[in-house]
Amino acid sequence: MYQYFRRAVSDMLSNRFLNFVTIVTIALSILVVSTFVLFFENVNRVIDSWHRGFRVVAYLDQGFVPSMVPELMARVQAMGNTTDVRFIPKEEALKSLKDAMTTTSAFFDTLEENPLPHALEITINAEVLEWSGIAAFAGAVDGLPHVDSVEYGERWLGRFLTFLTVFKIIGFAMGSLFFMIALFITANTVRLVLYSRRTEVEIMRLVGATDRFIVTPFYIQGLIQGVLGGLAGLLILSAVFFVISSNLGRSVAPEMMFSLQFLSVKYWLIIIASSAFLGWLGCCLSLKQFLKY
Amino acid sequence: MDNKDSMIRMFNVSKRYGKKYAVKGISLEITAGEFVFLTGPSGAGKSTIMKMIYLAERASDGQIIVDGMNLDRISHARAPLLRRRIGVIFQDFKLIPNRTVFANVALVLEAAGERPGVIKPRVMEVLKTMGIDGKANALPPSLSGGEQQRAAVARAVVGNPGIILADEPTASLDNRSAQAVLDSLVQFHAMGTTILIASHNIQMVSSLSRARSISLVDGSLG
Repeated sequence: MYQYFRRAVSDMLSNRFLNFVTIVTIALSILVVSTFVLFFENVNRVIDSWHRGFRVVAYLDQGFVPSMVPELMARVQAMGNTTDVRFIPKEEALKSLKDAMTTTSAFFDTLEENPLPHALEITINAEVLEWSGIAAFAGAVDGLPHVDSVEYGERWLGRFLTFLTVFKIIGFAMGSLFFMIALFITANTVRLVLYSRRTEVEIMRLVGATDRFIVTPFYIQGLIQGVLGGLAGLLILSAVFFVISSNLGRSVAPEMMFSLQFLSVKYWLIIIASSAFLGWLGCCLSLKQFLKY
Repeated sequence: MDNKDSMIRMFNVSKRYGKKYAVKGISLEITAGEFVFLTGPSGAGKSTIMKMIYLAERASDGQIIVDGMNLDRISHARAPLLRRRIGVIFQDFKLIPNRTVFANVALVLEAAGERPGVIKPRVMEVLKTMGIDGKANALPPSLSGGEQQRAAVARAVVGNPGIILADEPTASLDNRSAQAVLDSLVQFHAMGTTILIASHNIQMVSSLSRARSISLVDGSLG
């Protein structure tokens, strides 16, 4: 196997331009696919953070008094699906509203009584309750005694769930499409490389080389091209990402809820393994016609 | 007929391309250690016969037995084994242009699975025999026609084949280079190798009195 590897490297060095073309083709394909993966990974991270911090607010009726809080909280916690239940007295709610509306805070001084109700802020357990279960949970909370209404951004959530589904479908479709495009481009490029070396392949067969002797270095070359192309694509993406994220950090307000992260080690390995597979498969698709007996 | 000394035997061999016969009804025998010229004008079928012997083409009819192997029954997987027993020299040299002379010659031994420790001394020995050991690291396009053909001869003999086939080996060469190539083939013949040369060069054919001549005309034996 070492001899095959040595021949593969030697062949690559002897045909630098054509190998460079193949590696660049793979790198560009991986760059496009990785960009989508990076986008989707960051969006998924944002969605996960929203999911973890998602809250349902149950507004309590006029008949509710603070002494009823322990019992009501116990009922909510008994429903499961929650990580935290916090009672917000109406006085705290009014103070928070005044703090949020600083330009019109004088208006609140004119109020004779606090119009806001008591409320329970319920943080859902994202490990247990999926997006699609939130509406049913909110409905169950709404059925509890002294709960007047429940807010959970239901219209927004409905649209968001639809978006999420479409997002996932598009993600899979785009990823598959670009992988196929990359595969065909790579196979075609490899075919051009093999075509340019058809005389060499013919000579090898004529001097008694077996098919295995002939094709194994090509497969190894395909793997090497795939790995190098994958690495190059990821390095280009990381450079672009660094520039963009640095500039975003300077220009976007600090209250931005998330920070961009580059691909994790897991995705690096998956992408490089996929690009190696891409290079190898491109070779497979192109080699058969050159081994006609 | 079962002749233990037989290296190449053809029994009523024909090759068709579509409806046209390149060769028809060829029966011949070449014994071990013979030096044979396959002669005839261009288009007589000399190259076709050569190609069928080293399995670049399959016969349409008839049987070919080379060094005891029936080519009609040989599988794709076993074809390399046959080809390692035959050294082939081509008119257009067929050297890999981006590999050195050494690498071109060593290819035969690498394909046969020899170790680097065996390959290097053997290749240098053969290159020295052919007088081009100084060109071991040169690329073929930098060599003259005569040097390239000597490299091709080196590649053909490095594996110690029992048979050397040469298809118009001197057609692209000047007289001096052609004679050098012929002399090297005579040298290998003296060591016991069976030589079959396809050539329309009457001068070369007649220069070797010890050699037998098989004549082809329009695809048939003349």
